[in-house]
Amino acid sequence: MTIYVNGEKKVFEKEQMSVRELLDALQYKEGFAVALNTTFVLNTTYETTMIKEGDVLDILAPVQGG
Amino acid sequence: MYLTSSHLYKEAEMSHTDMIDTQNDKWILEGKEFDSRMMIGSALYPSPKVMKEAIEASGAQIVTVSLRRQSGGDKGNPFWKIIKSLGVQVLPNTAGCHTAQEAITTAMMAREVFGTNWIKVEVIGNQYNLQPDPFELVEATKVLVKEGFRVLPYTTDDLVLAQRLVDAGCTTLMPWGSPIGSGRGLMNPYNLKAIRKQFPNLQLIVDAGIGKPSHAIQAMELGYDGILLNSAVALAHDPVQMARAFKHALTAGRLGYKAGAMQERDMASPSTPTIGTPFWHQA
Repeated sequence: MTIYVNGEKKVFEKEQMSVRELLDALQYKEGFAVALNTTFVLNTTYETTMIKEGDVLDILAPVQGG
Repeated sequence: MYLTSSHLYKEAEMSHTDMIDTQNDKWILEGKEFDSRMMIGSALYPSPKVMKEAIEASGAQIVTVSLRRQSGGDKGNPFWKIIKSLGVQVLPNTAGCHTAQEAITTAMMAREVFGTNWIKVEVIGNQYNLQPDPFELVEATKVLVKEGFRVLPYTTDDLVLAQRLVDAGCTTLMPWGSPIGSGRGLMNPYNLKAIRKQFPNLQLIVDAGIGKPSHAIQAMELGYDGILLNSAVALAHDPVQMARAFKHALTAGRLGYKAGAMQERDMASPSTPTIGTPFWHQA
């Protein structure tokens, strides 16, 4: 499947995977939050939230702000 | 005037009184107590070291932060480590959002990452002056208050919009002084004053547009409860020194407001007694 992570195209052999599997594959460890198709994904649901073809993910972390 | 020992005694007594006054002037904001009435941003500093030193010098206990895309495999987050080491209340913002839905999603992500339900809701409606979109702002605020957030909205100085935000559940409002990063100070003191008069029990913070310590003094003299600034300190030639200057400005403005300024007069009025004036020539 083809998905978009932080605006970048990513291709995976699997047709479906959980958010947790994706985060592990991309080596995300801690200090971030996830939105799937612009909807927030609670970190306690990473295992049960499934990603499918064409999905768009945003993975955000702390930065400077005013 | 010659300084006598009694003058010196009075001066010492006055500075002691000032000290007590400042210490007793705790700021209760969204259920938490603060010694400083300044919120300071963490962006635009020449280096992380200067950012840390400037925040410390400002005395601010509330620091604004944000969220942006992060690549996988990043080892730690030095910026976030520094902010955590300061032991301050963080105020995440929703900078860059243009719709209520974007702001709501960002707020929820911020709550999880930063571990706070405080959120500076910022929904931009115009790219030229970064003016908030009032309609999307109110919509986002309604949803977020219901979701348990403490919403501190970045808003214009529009009185009716202020009322709508209060109706949505805000107990703190952050009207702009002038556009973000402009350093132009308070563009419309009349509007800011009107909001203060209409909402005497609300916590009011001038957010955006502060460029110099005198702007902060002006905001505090209007009876505002605090200020939020970033560029004024971060873009100063010496950010740490400027942070210190703002700290003093806030104290001066707050004490000036509490002391009650004299009424303005159209005519001059001599302050030195006229009775007994020497060389007096009466017509």
